[in-house]
Amino acid sequence: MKHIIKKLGTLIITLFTVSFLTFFVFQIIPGDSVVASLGTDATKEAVDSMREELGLNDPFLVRYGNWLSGVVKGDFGTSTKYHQPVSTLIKDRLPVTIWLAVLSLIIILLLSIPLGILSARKRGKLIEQIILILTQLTMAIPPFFLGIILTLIFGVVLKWFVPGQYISYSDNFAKFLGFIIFPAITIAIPKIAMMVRFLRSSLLRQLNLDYVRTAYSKGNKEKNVLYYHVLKNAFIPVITFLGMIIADVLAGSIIVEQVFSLPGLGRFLVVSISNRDFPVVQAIVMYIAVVVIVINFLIDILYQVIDPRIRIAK
Amino acid sequence: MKKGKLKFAFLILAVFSLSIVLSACQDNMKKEKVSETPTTDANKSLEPTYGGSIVVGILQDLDSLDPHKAVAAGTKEVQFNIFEGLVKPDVDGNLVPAVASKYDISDDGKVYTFTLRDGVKFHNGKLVTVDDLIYSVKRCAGLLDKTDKSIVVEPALSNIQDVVKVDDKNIEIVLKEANTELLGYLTFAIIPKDYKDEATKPIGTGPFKFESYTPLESLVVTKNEDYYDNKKPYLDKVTFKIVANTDSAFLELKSGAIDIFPYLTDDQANQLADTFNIKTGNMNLVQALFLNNAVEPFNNPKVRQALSYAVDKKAILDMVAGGKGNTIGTNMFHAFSKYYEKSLDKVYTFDVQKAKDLLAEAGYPDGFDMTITVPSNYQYHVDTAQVLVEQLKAIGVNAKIEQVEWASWLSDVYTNRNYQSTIIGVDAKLAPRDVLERYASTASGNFINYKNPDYDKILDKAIKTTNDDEKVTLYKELETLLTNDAASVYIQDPPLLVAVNKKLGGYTFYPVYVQDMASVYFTK
Repeated sequence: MKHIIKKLGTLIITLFTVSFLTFFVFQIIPGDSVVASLGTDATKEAVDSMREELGLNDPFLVRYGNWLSGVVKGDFGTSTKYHQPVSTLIKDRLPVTIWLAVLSLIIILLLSIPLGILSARKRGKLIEQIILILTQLTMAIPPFFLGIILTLIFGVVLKWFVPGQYISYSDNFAKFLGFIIFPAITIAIPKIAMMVRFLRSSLLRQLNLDYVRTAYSKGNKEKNVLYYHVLKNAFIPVITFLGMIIADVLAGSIIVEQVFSLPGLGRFLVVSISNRDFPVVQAIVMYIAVVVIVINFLIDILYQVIDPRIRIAK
Repeated sequence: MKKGKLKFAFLILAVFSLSIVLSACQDNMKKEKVSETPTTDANKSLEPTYGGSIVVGILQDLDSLDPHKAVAAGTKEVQFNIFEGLVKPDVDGNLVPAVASKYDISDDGKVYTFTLRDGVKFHNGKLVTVDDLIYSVKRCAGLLDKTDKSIVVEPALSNIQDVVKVDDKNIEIVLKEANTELLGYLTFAIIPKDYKDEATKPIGTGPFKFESYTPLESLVVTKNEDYYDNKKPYLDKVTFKIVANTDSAFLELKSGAIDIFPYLTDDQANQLADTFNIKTGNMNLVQALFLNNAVEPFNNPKVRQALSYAVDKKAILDMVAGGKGNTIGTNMFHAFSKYYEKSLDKVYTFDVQKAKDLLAEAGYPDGFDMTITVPSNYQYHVDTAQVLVEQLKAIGVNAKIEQVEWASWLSDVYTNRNYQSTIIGVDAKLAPRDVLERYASTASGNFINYKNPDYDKILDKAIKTTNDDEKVTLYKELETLLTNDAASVYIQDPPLLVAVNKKLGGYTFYPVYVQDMASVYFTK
């Protein structure tokens, strides 16, 4: 309980710092949301009146205070570009990013764990070499390139999906999944490679420890040792890594969303930064911060479930 | 073991390269197949049919659904299908009556009378009344009692003093000062009086009705069955799909997800030439190397003239646009042919020696260093800048390209005028005055800081006169001043390359920035 309260405190302090920093950065970078929104034809009067309306003439700290008090009441403000409440705009984008994250996570878990175990078990064999070369290769390919290659192969040549013909989850969920599976694969491939390598080295480290020898000497078969003894221990560092991956995919895959023209949070963030749409940027940054902190918190708890020793140490 | 490893690596490589070759082959085969089809195309009748739905790719998201609040050109080009004004542009750039059936401008240029067209209905089924007209004009001119601050009032419309109801058919727009060119600004949308949801469920009188809009995704419009021109529109549904960039649009065109895309690069157009009809039009922009006349060395007219001589415009067109597009000699584009002073094309012919002499006279015999600030989202302008840098080397001018984000460009270059030179395209609405007015010494759009008292005087006279011939002459004088002063290095009106699905007909170019879908149809 005490632990949870402490974590909650960290969450609030972090959010506060992050929001202040974002606010501050937006003051420094060139560009102006009013000019960006009104364009070249804007008259001075129009710019002035919009500035007044958005409260941009107030001093920096007053504006930050106004924003903060809005957020406390659950009001993230209105987008300067779309003239719609930020919360509605984000609510429409969020499912895309979350489904993309869930789908790519499933792919990552389904493939990386068996492959990681396999490569550790078959040490020195051809299959380990294949896995190592493939992981090396896929880690080296930048995601945007991978996305374009996948679009070319599955979209243009094989015609398994129509590039760019994104179908909204509310229109047809099956077709929606059928489309986002490809960006999900794009996100998953390099992450699978990293997970496989991580799991493999973690397993190998464990396999050299004394308790493994003891387990063998008790007459256990390799499978038994691996699945009942080693895997659990090897998973602890992997879970930390997995947590980072989850936070990463939930934060929105900016580049992949751009390549596949997905209307997710990542693309929305980029578009809003170039529009200098401050309320939207701030809200998305806050969302990302919350995701990272909450996932870390959950991982913390998960550790204790897997390894009671960590629980006792606290 | 080592050998085995090596063998294995080779195997992988071989499989990989084979798969790439195979997929490339498949691609080629397809291309060949497709290229056979066009021969049958000519035999097909090109008669229009009714019905069908298409997807049009657009690059910019909409900034507002309310037509009076939208400012982005990318928004207005699609809103053209939903809304109509008292008048609207036709394909030749003339203003033709739309919601109004006829208009009359008083001889002193102060009173505009409009007659409401019979039987025009809003998308909600209600008949348009003169009260709706008055409301719309007042809303755009900022004359409503309760003004909504986010409505953008066009400076030209602030000249409207009052809107008067004459009878149930006619209204009069009374101006403070005479202006015979105001008609070009009266294309703004007519919307229902006191309708509150214009920003979420817009209602207009255009050939298509608003169906749905999702930010970052699409705007969907459907056929307006009650449209007063009973021949149009042909299509039942048009989806304007917002694409992330031209590259993803290109893939979507190849896969068939998009039927029409208006902003191809020259490379893309060449690659799509087999599978799409490529239409070439003009962007109707003045693309120039704009020089900040207030900073050194560009405050010296000789330097500006030297740069104008040093630039080979034809070579630029060849490099960036595959030779398409038109070069320009002054701050006007060819679509306004009535106002374009053609002789100015020959003032600065490409002449390196003359440029060098002028630089020497100006006190820069060895050239100088300069920075060209270019908005990075406009690849076309960036490409132009790259060619320019090479050309300027010949006269010893060392230009450096600085790419900035659009928002930074707007605030630093356009608004604060804190730059040395930039490449951009300047557009105009239907009035040629729009392109020339910005160079008045005090104009807010005069981002190049051009100052010439003669220019201000002539401009004032041109605006005030109600005699059309005199106006044309004065406009041409203004263009001549800009060219002779070498206010900037005028380059070209870039080509607009549009990919259109081969099954579609009727795509038309306008001298203004619109995507008219009412004239598009599926051929039989």
